[in-house]
Amino acid sequence: MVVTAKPKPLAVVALAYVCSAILYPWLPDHTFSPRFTALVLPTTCAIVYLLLESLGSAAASRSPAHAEAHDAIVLRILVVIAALHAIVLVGLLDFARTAGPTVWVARGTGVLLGAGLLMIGNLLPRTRPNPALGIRTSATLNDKDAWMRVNRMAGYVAVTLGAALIAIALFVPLGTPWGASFGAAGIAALAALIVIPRRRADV
Amino acid sequence: MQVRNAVFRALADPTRREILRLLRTAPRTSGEIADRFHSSWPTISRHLAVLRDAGLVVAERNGQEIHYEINTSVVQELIEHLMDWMKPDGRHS
Repeated sequence: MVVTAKPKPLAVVALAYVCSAILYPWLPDHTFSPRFTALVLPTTCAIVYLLLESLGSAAASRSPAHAEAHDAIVLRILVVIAALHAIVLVGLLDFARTAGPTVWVARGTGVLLGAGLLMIGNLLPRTRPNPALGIRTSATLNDKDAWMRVNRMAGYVAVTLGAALIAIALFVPLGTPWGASFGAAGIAALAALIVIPRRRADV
Repeated sequence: MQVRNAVFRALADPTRREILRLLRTAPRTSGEIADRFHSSWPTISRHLAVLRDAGLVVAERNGQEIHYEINTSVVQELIEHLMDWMKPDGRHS
């Protein structure tokens, strides 16, 4: 297991811990202990980084193109977790201050998850067979062409779903069942999956 | 910003977009790519160099041959589609 320390991902993990350290004295203790709230997502960030680096380093060393995509995707995953941590911390402080849930926390979380899906999906077609990131089946892991086809389609689906999730989080009224909206987004993603490869086949 | 400019410059040319479509089906050598076009091999080589500099294709050595592989992101492919739709006559067969 080889893990190379890279400055940008480590800076994101460190920033998540620093945010916790700064806001720790004001964290409420009526739901979870402040220590749990302060540590759970930064530690998740660190573990995810270690896991993805250890699993993906061999494939990244074989292909410079994949190494670039791997680093970019890992960084985006960590940024999403760290940003989620920031929303949780500030949301908890806001909850304690206003004694109720705030709209921006719900909308902000939706936008963040949508943006994460969009950014990661955008880079999926640039990955090559590896055990860490992408659609990993025995068929795709053993056949580079199959990997590239499947992950290209998965990228389109993820980008469509991400964009739909952002739109839902921003514009759908909070009382509306989001599940139904996200179901509609799923159908849109499925349409992208069917239409785009067919357009490719026309070439 | 320079990389973004290189991507737009690379995608602006219909022959280069056609090369990307061809590589999307499978990796190919520069000779195989040149066979599909009326342009000369050096012209295709120049197009491939522009695509490689923009990061849209990668060259992988496979024994004696160099295979070109597609390396586009989803957004770059959508830009490619948009450019095709804006200039439908620019498509090469």
